[in-house]
Amino acid sequence: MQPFKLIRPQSLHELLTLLAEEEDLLLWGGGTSSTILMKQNLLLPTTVAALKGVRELYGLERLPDGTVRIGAMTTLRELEHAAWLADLVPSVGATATLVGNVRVRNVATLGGHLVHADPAQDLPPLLLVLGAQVRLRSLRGERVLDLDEFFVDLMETAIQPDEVLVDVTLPAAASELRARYVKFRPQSQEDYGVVGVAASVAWEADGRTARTVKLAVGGAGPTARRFREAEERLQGREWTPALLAEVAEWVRSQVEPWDDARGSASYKREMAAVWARRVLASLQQQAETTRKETPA
Amino acid sequence: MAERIELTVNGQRVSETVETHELLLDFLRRHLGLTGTKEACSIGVCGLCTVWMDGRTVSACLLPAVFADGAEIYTVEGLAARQNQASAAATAPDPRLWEIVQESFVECEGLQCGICTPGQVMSALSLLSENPQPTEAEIRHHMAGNLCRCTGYQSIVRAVQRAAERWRAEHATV
Repeated sequence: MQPFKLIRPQSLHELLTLLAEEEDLLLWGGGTSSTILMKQNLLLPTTVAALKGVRELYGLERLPDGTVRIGAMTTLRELEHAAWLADLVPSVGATATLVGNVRVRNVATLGGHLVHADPAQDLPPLLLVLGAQVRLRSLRGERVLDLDEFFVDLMETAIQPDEVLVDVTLPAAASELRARYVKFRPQSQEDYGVVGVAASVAWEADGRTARTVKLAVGGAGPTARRFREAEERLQGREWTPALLAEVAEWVRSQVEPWDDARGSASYKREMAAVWARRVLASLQQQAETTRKETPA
Repeated sequence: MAERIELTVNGQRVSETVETHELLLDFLRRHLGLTGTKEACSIGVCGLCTVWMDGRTVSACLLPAVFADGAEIYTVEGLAARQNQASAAATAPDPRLWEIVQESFVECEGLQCGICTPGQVMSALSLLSENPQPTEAEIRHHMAGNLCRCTGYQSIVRAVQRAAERWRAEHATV
């Protein structure tokens, strides 16, 4: 690592001013990704701004309109431990607990997790299927982007050099979805997944027909992304094994993985299909169980 | 670039000048001579550098020491100091629980070569501080971030279970 100048802004305005003036400013949340990228000389910041004192970046709350607001500095462990969030949108904590290890989750922030834009990270596919948005601020103003628009390419996001990610929001409707993220991890708990697949569904009153569906895959291309054509095939229909197989085949044909230490491209393509089918089947199974428990 | 930092390490106030890119791990080992905290993977995966910071565990290899300014840190060397500490922050580890954890690792032979043990102890301490009655699955999930190439983990899981049993037994009789 190389030495850097450390600045400790104490308000969002002070931070935005720094972002507008300083070139090559690295924002420091938990630092778990930044330290590794700096050790690898992939990040060589001359100046680092510690975000710890910027209170506008904190907070994990349900707003009066039902929106869930997650401040960028919220740690993954806080997402795991928030009991009210577990009641409202249980898939968030259940997915957060799959990231890295306890020490990482104790300090790693959701904002850092997203701006890193490593395609194999766990929360992006889930947040995509929950309809999450990110709020970006700069001295020029504010932009709210769907997470779909935020991820641009490998480790590249739509965030501009003078902007900071302030918070992530989940729409009130997210609490009405059944959502799940699954991660295929052939080795130890520590590994990034080979692929990770998330799906969400809102069932019709019959509990069998899918009203809305979202499906997203991570680790099988330059960004985590949704597969809208697959979603359309699942919407308004009862899911048969043949339909799930057809959707899985579509995912296999559309993902763009590459060979690396986590597997060959063809293996990842295969696993994306297998796990897409499994996550959908598990949501269907869950709906079936609910139907049996609460007969009409 | 140098920065002055002030923090508490094993109950002692420490005030030192560090380079901004100096890791907490190196600060503990080189400035303070606390070599119980080990380094192996350097990317936060193996758990050898696990230390207690403000009530939670962190990887000292992933944290430049400047970001520990103002923090309260305990390393594996800190048990005796913690036992003799007149007062400590609410986020400090319980000295009796810590003692039980260390004894349980010995009793259950939760180690062989010992290099991962400081990190295992600090992780077990943090688990039982948060959750005094973990299931085996919860133990395995929490301790998964501490790698061990010797034991096959069974004896480590037993050591944590044993510590939880002893801690519970002591509290049941109070």
